[in-house]
Amino acid sequence: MASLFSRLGDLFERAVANLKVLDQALNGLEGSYVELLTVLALGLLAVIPVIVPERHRQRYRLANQLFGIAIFIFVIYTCLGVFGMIRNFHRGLSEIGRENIVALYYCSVPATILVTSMIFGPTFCGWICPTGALQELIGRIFGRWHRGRKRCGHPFSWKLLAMALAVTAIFLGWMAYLSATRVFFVEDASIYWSEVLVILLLVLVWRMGAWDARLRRLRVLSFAIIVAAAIASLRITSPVHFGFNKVYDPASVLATVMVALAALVVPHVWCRYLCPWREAIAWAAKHSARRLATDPAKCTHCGKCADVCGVDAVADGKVDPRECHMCLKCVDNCPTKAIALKEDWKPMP
Amino acid sequence: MNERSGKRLRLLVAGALLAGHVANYAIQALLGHLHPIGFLRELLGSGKVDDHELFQMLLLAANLALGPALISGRGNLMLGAGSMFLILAHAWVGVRVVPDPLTSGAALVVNILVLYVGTRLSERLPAKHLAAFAASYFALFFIFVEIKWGFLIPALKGRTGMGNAEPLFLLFVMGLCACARSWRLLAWFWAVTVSFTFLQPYAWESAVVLCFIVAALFGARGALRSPTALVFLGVGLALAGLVLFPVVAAIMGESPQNLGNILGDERIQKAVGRTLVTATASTLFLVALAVPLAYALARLHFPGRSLLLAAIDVPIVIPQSVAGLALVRVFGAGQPLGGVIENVFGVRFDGTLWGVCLAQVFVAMPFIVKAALAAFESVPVELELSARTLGASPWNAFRRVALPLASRGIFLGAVLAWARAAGEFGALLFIASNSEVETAPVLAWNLFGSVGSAQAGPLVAVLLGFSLAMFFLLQLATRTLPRPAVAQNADATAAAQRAEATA
Repeated sequence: MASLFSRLGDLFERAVANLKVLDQALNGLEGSYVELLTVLALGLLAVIPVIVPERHRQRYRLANQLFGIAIFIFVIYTCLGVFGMIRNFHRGLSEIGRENIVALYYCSVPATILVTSMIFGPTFCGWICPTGALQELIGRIFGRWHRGRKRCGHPFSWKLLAMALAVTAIFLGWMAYLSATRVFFVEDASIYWSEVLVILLLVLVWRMGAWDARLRRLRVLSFAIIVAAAIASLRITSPVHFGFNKVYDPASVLATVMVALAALVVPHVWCRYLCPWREAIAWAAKHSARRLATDPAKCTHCGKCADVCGVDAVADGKVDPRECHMCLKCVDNCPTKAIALKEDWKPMP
Repeated sequence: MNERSGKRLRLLVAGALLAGHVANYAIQALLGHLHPIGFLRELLGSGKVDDHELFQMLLLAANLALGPALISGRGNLMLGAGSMFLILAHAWVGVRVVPDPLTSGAALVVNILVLYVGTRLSERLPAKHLAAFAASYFALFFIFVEIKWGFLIPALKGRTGMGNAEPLFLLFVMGLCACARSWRLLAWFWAVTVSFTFLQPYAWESAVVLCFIVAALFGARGALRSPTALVFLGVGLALAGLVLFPVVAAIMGESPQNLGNILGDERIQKAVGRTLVTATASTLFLVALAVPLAYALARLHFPGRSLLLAAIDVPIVIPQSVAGLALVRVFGAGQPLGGVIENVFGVRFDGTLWGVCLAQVFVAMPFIVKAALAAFESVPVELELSARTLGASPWNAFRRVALPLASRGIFLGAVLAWARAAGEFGALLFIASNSEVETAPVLAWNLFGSVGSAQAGPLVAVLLGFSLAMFFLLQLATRTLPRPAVAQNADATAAAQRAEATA
């Protein structure tokens, strides 16, 4: 019996040895754990939205988001926040052909996100992105302030004014403290983004309905600035950047706090108006095979989809693919099941 | 296939794969490669487990979940069975083939993605898409893995920068999966891939040019949707790419810091300023003289007109060095005409800005005369005649009718002449090339002569960017002028036709 097994074992070894050629193939991966774990982890996270059952989908999404936060904190080193992702992608692409392992290291996160967005839709935004999850969790807790005021802006109240002024005061106070304790570098430019965010907040609180569409174009500007900075090899850190490296980075902490505070009043304010990476994902999602389609015959124009949407991507039952985060809340909440996930593999013209 | 045989097929395929995986695990455990009991004990005890054991256990668990689901009739059989097979294959050979379980896992995810996309393509799109997908896959394999092995083309082995490129194969295959379902995306993908593999170190430059070509080819629309025209466009774009590539490469090859440093150099600032001033002065002089000439040529017939028309092209035809020498021979110090001008007007040509302008006027003249002539010829004589019958004087007929209608063409010609004047180099070398009066192109040559091409590179990039920016700005400005009469007529006709069609 034992000899039979050892002979089987030999056969097995020999069958594998015939494929020895492949032994060379992935040698380059040896030791480069981090970036491959990224591909693995993000790949698995991106598969979940596709395979989860429709019942309790939003609960799975919450779990996926929490898991995404954990992955980004504990596994991924190369991302460095939304700005860093663009910079790294530029750097990584330039290294192809010179330092291929470095290229993989820098390209893996952005490439994985873009690829999954092009196949499964922009699920990264709605199911994985830690910045988005942070804003959404805060929105969940303080949802009362969002409800019913998303499109029209808030009516004036002293409470609201006090809140906006308090946020501004926190920002200015922290800035004053920082400038007293630290010399600013280009790296700290995320402060400018949070500054814009604070101004935006004041504007949005009263003028959101009128200015929303125009202000969303800020994302393009943001994207252009970050790409230009990447080409000029300037480092600009983004909110949540401090989660990815060990250096003392108070500016990024401040920006993160500002994003969180702003999300109290306007849901997903960062994603809507400032996130440069959202612009790239919107492009990828335009080419996605999976998309949300509305059956006009079933739609009763009840407006529930627009109510639940966190990013105001649905208007009168129609989903705007440029803004949609694929959270599928509108699908789950539609009383007549008029909005559905379609998989359309027809080639584009 | 009826329902029952479908169920039987599911049971057969999924059951066999499941049994195969269990058997594989059992054999490896019996051979002593795997220790399921020890693994469980460690997992429950210390929580620290061997990577390899964990990976094998996860793969087994995945198939144990997938198999029954498939058998019970859920999911796509092709996709599910394919995934099960891939998982089994990774459990069986993946261990030996790749250095660590994590690599194997990443490769497994990418393989399943390939399977997913392949299945969808074969189910929902014409077969040629699947064929293109497969061909692209093997081409990528060739680029990233095979070239290094050198089985197919030994000559290439070790001669490319693609050592250690196997992990990139995974990334690029992911990109291919994302782009496989549309020809346009596939073309974009290959434009980028070719740029970043074969065309290194000019990857970004060639990516820009190739993406431009792809965008043009796939965005092409027209009344005549003929493949011939598309092929012609492709050939023409290849030519344009050949010409554009060095330009893009010269601009993108320099780091922004270098460009910034260059702009701060006083010698360069002065040269650029000199270029601006002299080219603008020459162009103004040319406009003042060439527009009347062009109007006369367009409206009058006189003996020697065709000879004059041909002679206008002389500065284009003759070599720049010859032009420079000819100018020096006539206008240079001590030469007959040059001497007279210097004595009478006190204007010296060689080695002064006057000389620079002279050379620029010489070489730029054909551009503006030709353009202005074409512009005036496109203005119907009848318009001027009607203006005359309504009481306009000949001068007013020219100023109020012919000139405005021709202004766009004249301005375009002036822009070309300006660009030609600013870029003039050959003739300047003979008449005014000393460092006191050097223009930007001459400065580039002087720097190249003294410090070499590497140091002159940033200056070249700045000059190129500067001339291109000016050129495009001026082109843009042209659009504000009235359109030529012929085009206006065509527009009017088209509008009338549209109105008829709607009525």
